Parts: sequence; structure tokens; C-alpha cells
Amino acid sequence: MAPVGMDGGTDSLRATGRWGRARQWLATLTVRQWLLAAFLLVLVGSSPFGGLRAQRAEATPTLSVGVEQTVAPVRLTVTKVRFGSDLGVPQAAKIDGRYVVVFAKVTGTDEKRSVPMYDALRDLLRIEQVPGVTKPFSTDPEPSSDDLRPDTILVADDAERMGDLAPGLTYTLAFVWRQAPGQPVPTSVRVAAYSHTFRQASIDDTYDWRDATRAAVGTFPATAYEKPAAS
Amino acid sequence: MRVPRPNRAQLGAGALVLAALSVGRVVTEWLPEDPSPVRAFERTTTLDREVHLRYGNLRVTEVDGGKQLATSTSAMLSPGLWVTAHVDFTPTVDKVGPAYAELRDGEGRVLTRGSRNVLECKVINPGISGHCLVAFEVDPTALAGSHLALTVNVNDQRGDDMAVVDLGITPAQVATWKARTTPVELLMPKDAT
Amino acid sequence: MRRPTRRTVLTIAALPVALALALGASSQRLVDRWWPTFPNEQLAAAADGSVRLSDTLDDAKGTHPRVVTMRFTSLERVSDYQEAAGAKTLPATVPADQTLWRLTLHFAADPRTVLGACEVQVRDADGRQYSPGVGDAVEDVSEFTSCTPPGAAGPMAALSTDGPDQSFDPRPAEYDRRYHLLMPSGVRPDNVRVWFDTPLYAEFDVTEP
Repeated sequence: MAPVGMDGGTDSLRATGRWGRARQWLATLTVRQWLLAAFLLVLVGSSPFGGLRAQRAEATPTLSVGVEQTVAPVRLTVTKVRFGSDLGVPQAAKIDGRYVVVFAKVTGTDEKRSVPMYDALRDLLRIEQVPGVTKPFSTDPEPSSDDLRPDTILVADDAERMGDLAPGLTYTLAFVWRQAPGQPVPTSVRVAAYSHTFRQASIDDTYDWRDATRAAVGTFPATAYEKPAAS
Repeated sequence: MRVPRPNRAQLGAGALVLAALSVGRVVTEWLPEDPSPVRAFERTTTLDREVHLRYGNLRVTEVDGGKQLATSTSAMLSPGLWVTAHVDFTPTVDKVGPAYAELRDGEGRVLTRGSRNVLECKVINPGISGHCLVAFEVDPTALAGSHLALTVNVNDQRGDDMAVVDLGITPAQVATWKARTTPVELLMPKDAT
Repeated sequence: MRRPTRRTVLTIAALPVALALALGASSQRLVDRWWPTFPNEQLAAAADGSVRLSDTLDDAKGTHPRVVTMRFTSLERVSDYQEAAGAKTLPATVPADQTLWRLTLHFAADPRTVLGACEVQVRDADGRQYSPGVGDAVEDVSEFTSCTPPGAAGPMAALSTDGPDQSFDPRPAEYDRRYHLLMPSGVRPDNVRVWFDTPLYAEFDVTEP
């Protein structure tokens, strides 16, 4: 496709200097090339803001204490939010900072297989706007807690690490994050639950729970963790 | 700007492209929808009956169950039931042991191992009898009729032998296990080498 | 009907070639993932039976040359465990129908070379592969396969670009390394394979002890 100037070739004789030559070059573009350029401009311009993907929906269902919500692939009931520097179990022993723990009842909704810890269960909950939360295995406070995975997920009954969630079973789980030392006490914690979709990857042929979507959110009062009385 | 009128050859080419796309669509719909159309070679057996696999001989010798599980490193309480199995495994080719386990419950649901369920093997060398410990947390309503599937490649089970063992669990057994108050102990036998 | 043009004929003739290319391209996983992860490229042995490996090792700080010469010394049935010549001898309780073997290999490499991990296998004539390990036969011993002397592994691969160079105790320029293996009685070892990074490997014939 040989580009031909819109108003003939006489311009080229007058074109002098950098601006003139640019105008001359622009004049050679076809309508199709202009449209392509505009499309590329939109792509490049929007990419720093997350591209052309749909943005987070503003009106997400509400999470509240004791109310069950289905967040694929689980049914979820947040029961309480606690903080403390020592949860009294080996998997969450005394630390200098503070644990922030979301307790929730979780049941798998997949009729065919377990809900895997990686990467559905681990990415089920996030605590938002909690100051000074650290990444798993790190001690540096992060600027935002909104996208941080829990440090660990424990089974409340036996304080062992949770694994894959078997179909038909309901667990009370403790989703445990860590706050760096010297950070303010989180008296109220916003908890967001993310749903996932079981689908094949577009690059390789693997199936997994993908496309985390912020499906429900709620703000919970947080109180100090009371150790269960020794029995 | 004028839109040129397509000639017959161009229209024909367009029609052919559309036809090829439709054929592709039909073929795709014909293919199995299962996540993994290339499956493992399943070798079925029952409790206490040895099965010969490409990489070794395997026999489930003992099945037990209960709400609490005690291993050498942890004590765990299940909201359902723990079902445990002792497995004798003798490699025949090289030093490998079962590294992948899944439990297929009585309703055909697949329970993956994850990090809480147990698969621990002690394998020495080809020709020497080794031993594995297995424990899965299961929904008691679907426990009867469960099968245990074991193979050696944890990342990819396709294209290799997989032992599928009917654990022979009966509803009566499940009722006994539900009523049990003592933990199920799952320990490597001392004489296993 | 028109006769097919030259272009049509050429296009149709090119179809089988394109199909072959497409099939070849889809074997990428075989070529990239399966083939190089097995030892399948045997290194040539010198006249004296030693094998010289000359390749490179990649770590966080870059690519380093690795030259190491390996030689088979002995493979014998033993009744006790001794980590190295002169080390303490530990009693072994070998189950009936099993035999404990001691394999000795000789290595020579510049003490400044990062050797990295390696694998050692004893194979019988049917291709069965036996790995070092003593099970419960010797108390408080866990055999792990390396190609460096116990406690003197020398420099190790860097895990990060900015960290200090990590090193175990200095490694001698030449040394014997012993491995203990439990095998079923009646196994007749045929050869020994050693490799650092696949697919390159050294193979030594075992002479009947």
C-alpha cells in the first residue's frame, strides 16, 4: 500500500525545516493509518491505569459478621477479626509486631474436586488499608495491605497449616497477616473476598482458579485476641 | 476514500476462511472437555492385592480412620474424618516412590493432597521393599467406596502408570470411625527399610 | 476449467512441508523440557579411564567455567560404614537379602571452582539404577549425594548478585569421595554414572570385584 499525499506532491517543494517535513510526512498518512495510530495511542495511554479492562465495580456485596456469602469457589462466613502479638500456638508464636487474624468458616462449592490452597484459598481474602502489613517472609512494612497474601492460613481446630480444601467439609480458618513493629492498632479492618474462575490458561494448557475478582467487602471491628483457656 | 468492490476470487477466499473457522469450531466441540485429555494409565486393584506398575510394585496393606490423626510431627483434628493407608512399595527401575496421591471419594469427587493431607514414603533402591504413609481428610458421607490413586510424578501424572486402589471402605466402617475417640496413629513401621 | 497456475502448484507442493514444520515445532516441549533433563550425552573417556568434564555453571553472579576430572576407583561389598579413609568406622546392620556396597570415585578440580550439585548412580546390566543411601542400616547417618568431600565442599554457587561469596571449608585439589549403597543381594553392578548438569554424563565400567 503506497501512501500517497492527500493534496498531491507540490507540498514537498515548499517543505523546509523540521516542522515542514513532519507536516509533509503526516500528509502522506491514509485514514486507516490515522485510525491505527489513534488506537495505539489509546492502548499506550490507558496502560498505566490498568489498560482497557473493566475497573473494579463500586457496588460489591457486603461481608458482615456471621452472614454467609458465596465467593466462588467457596462459601464464606467471616466470624471475627482479632489482633495480638502472640496467638499461643507454634505456627503463630510471639512476635515483636502484631498478628492481624480474620477468622472465617469456609466450605468448598466445587462439586468435583478440592479447592486448592495454591492459588484459590491463599488468594481468597485481603485486609485493606491496614497500616504497616508485611509481605510473607518479610519484615518490611508495605505501603498498602490491599494486595498482600496472608502469611499463613491455619485450621482453627488444631492450629496446623491449612492445605487443599476437601469437598463437603467446612473448616474454621484463621487467615493470619503480620504488622511490622510500631504500627497503629487496627481497631477496624476492611476485609475483601475475591472470587476465582476455573479456566484453562491461554498460553499453556493448564487449568487453575484464575481471574481474582473483588466479589464482597465488609468492615469488621477488630479486638485483642483472647487465648483460649488452657484445658 | 473509496472502498473497492471485491471480485469473485476475493469473495471465494473469504468464504473459505469462514468455512475453515467453522470446521475448527466443530472439531473443538468434538474434543473431550476434560481438563486433561491425556490421562494416566490407571492400574486398578483392591486392598491387600499387589499391582504391578512401570516403576514398581504397590500394595495397600492397611486402612484406618477417625476424627483425629497423630503423625510423628503433628496432631490434627478433622471436621470430617481422616482416612489413613499403609502402602508397601518396591521400586523396580530406579529409586522413586509415590510422590502424588489423590483420593476419589464415593461420589467420584477428587481430593487433592495439598499440604495438610499426608504422603510420606521411605524408599531405598530397586528390589528393596519400601513403605508409604497416606492420610486424607474426607467428608464422611462420601467416604464409603473411596479409591486411592498413587503415582510417582507430582507435577504431571499423564502418560505413566497410576495405581488406583479400592480401599474397600464400608458404611459400617465409617460409622465406627465416626464414633472413635482415640487418634489414628500413622507412623513408619520400625522394620520398614 | 482453467489449468492450475504455477503459483497454485507451488502452494500445494509446499503444504506437506508446512505440515512437517508445524509438527516439528510442536515437539518443542520434548526438545526443551524432556530431552535435556536426562543424562543422555556421554563424555568421552581418556586412555587411563578418567573422564574430563569441561562445561559452565550458572549462578546469580554469572557463568563460571567448570573443569573436573573424574575417575572410578572401586566398588566393593562392605560390612561397615566409613565416610572416608581414616574416618571412624560405623557398624552396619544390613537386612538379610540386601548387601551394602561402597563406591569410591576420584575427583580432581581447581579448589576455586564452584562444582555445584551432582548425581551418582550405580547401574546393573538391565539398566536398573541404584542411588546412594543406607536406609536404617547405619544409625545416625544420612547419605546425601554430592561430589565434594564431606565438610569440605569449597566455594558454593551464589544465590544473589550482591551477596558475599559463600564458601564451605576449602576443597582439596584432588580427593576420593565414598558413597554407600544398599542393593538387593544378587545385583551385579555393571557401570557407574556421574553427572553435574544434564545432559552431559560420565560413565565408568565396573570390573567384577
